[in-house]
Amino acid sequence: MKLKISLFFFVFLTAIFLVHGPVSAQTATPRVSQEARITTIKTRSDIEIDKRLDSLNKAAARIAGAKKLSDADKQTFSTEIQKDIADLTALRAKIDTDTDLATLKADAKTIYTSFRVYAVFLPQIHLLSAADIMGVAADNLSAIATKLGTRLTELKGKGKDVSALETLLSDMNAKIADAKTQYAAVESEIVGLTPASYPGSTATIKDAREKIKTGAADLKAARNDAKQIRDGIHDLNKNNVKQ
Amino acid sequence: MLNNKIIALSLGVIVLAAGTYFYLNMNKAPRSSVTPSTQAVVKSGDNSDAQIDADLKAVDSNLNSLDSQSGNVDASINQTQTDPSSGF
Repeated sequence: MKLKISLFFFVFLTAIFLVHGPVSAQTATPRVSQEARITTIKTRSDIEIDKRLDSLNKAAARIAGAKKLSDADKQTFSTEIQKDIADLTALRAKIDTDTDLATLKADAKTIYTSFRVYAVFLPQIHLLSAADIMGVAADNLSAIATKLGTRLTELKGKGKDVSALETLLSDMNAKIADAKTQYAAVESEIVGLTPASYPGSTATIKDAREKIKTGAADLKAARNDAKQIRDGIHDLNKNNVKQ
Repeated sequence: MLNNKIIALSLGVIVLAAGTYFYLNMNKAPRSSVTPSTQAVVKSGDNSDAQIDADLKAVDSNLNSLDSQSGNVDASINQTQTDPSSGF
């Protein structure tokens, strides 16, 4: 009987120990690990905020240098960038002085949720920059098309057969027009995105990327047309025989 | 009760693995850069052969910039898919 009681208490005490663990480990360890967690989260938060500040400053320079973006859009984005820089700087200061783990974690989370610098804002700026470059290239190609058209008219006046080159010029103009449509569509669908647009913004960003691809292919085709027309004009000028 | 201990230990391992994953993602390196652009613009009016050749070179420069910028777009879209939005 005594053996049974002893065995019962042994099993009972072992079970309590397994469930609750040593008392000393329960009181000392969490305090130390909480301080370590606070330090780790602050360090990581500072790194993440600094990366975003660096990216936003570069984005500001990109927007300022955009040629085709409207002045109103430039102003909107510049203001938004400066606001994000100010808000992230303030958030960094708050995080650095946080002492409560739960508050710190909530603040650290807002680095992502309140700004979406990498999820929305930078893709938005990159797409607008790409659309801006497309606009400049399309304008340049339009100017070249006008010059080539003038040269073809001159050659036609001299009795040369320029019909094949005129077909190429028509194709060139059509490709330029489509590229302009693509970059205008990219601007209109991207300009309105905000951090709150995430995660739905992902599909919009991908769609805009496809439009950039289509526009770039148009511009490359137009450039090839221009080169063929330029070579054709060169050949016609070399050949003094009336076509 | 021992099962509870094992479950708690397993959860701890999962949380540690998730934490390590997010830490590595957050410290992944350099995100694509955004640099100011200076785009070549063609000269209007002059439609000589030499000028048209120069204009075509300006367009080539534009298209190279566009390719480069498209690379930045792709890089930033790829980052979107790894954004550790759930926090630390």
